[in-house]
Amino acid sequence: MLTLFLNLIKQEMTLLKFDFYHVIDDIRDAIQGLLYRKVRSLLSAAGIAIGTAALVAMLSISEGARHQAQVNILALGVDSIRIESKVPVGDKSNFNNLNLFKGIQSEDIESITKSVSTKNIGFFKYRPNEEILLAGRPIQGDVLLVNQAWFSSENIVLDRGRLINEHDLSNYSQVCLLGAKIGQQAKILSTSIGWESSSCNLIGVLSKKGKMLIEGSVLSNIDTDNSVIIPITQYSSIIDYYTGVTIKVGISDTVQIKRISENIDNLLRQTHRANDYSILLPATLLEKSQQEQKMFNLIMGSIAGLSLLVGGIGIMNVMLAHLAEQTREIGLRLSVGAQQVRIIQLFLSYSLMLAVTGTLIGIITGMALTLIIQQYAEWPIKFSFFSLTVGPLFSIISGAAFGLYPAIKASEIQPNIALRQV
Amino acid sequence: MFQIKNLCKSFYSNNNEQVVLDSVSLSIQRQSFTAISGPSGSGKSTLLSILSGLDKSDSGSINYNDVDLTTLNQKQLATLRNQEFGFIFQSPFFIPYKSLIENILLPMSYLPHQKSRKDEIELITQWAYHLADLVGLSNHLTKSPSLLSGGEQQRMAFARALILKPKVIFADEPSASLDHKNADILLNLLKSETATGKTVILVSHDQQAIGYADTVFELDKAGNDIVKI
Repeated sequence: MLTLFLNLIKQEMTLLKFDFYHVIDDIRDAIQGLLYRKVRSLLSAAGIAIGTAALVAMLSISEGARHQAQVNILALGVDSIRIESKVPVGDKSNFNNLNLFKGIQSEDIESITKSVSTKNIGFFKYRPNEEILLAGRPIQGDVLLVNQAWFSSENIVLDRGRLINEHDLSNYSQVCLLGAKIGQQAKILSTSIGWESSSCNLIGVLSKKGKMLIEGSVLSNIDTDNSVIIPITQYSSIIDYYTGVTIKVGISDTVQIKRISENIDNLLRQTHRANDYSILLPATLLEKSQQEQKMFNLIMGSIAGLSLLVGGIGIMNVMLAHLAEQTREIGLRLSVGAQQVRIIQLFLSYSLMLAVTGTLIGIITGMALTLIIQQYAEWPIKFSFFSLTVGPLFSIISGAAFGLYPAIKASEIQPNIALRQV
Repeated sequence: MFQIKNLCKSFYSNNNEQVVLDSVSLSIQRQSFTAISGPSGSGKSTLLSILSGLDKSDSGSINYNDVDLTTLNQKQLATLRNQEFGFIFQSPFFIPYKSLIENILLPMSYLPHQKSRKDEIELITQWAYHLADLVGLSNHLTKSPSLLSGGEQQRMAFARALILKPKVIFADEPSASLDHKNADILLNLLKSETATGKTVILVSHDQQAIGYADTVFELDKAGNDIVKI
């Protein structure tokens, strides 16, 4: 075993002293040979192609999901703490719970503001799937009731018109904004927007923001682009204990963010008898998401690696079949002066060409597959440098490596015996 | 040119030793057309394989131009086969996916790299076209050899054997699968090479082929003795 291994190393070392012209000759020879047996060559390259396609597709989808998750989490702000009002699960008509499940109240906002010494506290109330009248025409959308700080805390960008200001809030102005998607339907500003029994005057349309996707939290439902944004003071007269505000507290000292969130939690526990709020740390979410992604990548990589292993074994199998078929040809080459290293080189060229062909087909198929999945399943995708280069390079190396054993076997053939084969 | 002394070769099958050559000694002159004949199983093809460096002997010496071939390693033997020897076998072996001219040029692929390779390639290629013309195959240059007749394939093998202008041509039953007319064409071509300074060593049990040789060695059934006729 050790001798075989040492021989392999020795032959590999010999290979390093290759002659460029001979390498070109052998690659050309291998291409001719593979083209001579087109169907078989294509079938043997198919194994590597499938493996590479799986690798490219899996990595692109995984990278897309990772990127999207990070964008969503980063959009929440890693330098912030979110405190959400929690709605009790079960029968909402159970009035015994009304006094317990109030969610975040204005006194909470005041105490948090004092505790963290910041004025950068954006908050909002949320009403999903409301019927909105846009210029007298009913449409389905969400309603977000916000304070002025909400715009800067959520990095909201205005597309046209103006934002809600302090004057609107203090004067209970009947004004509103539209999200990017819903705003496309409002051709001009100053259009009248109706919601429940009240109406407001459209003062601006926001740029595209995208959904806030945090599983298990109220944020998972928020689609800013499909929302009407109204000053929170317009809503103050309406009593609704089941949907409290969500607060975003901007923290400048991110190192202390966990400690600050614990302090806020302790503060809220003093005044809340029920578990009617939750504290969310986007930084922790990001960390968790990155860890989950690493695990996901490992699993995906293992699956793709297995497919490549199968592809590589396919190449080895075909090369051994080549060897059995071409014994007399090898004998002829040796008789006319081929050195053993040239036979290794020729067979490695065969497997390398199969691996390269398979990999190229695999990259194209993988990219096409990824785009189809994106089109039909609407999953986020991202073609990364790794998925399009390092992964396929691994396919080529795997294919070539599996060709090494048949190549060495071919070089060990005795010419006189090979020429006597029937 | 060749001084062979006490050459022995045995094969082993299921731990049984089968002696093929037992202390064979002979001498082959330069520019000669030497035939080695004998009945089937006498070891004449094995002797040719050992002389041409395709196989190794168990003992004995083969002196070729003052070099003992038995002391050479695989790499040196491959170089010798490439640059000094030409081969014609009973079957006209060829690479099926290469054209006739590419098959003739096959030994050129295994020349060691030289700086003047481009010029050398051009000269050898011109020589290949000349040889194809000499053996009457100039109309089939781009065809696959598998489309040619047996006689044409053997003539291609002859051209391939001469491509690097070898000093010795080894021919193992080259006319065995040919009809009388094609055998004559091939043997005449081989005979003509001795006039250009080459040595031809032919193995055959065919009297027509042996008739072309100027020296004939005959091996007995067990390869025990060789007699110059």
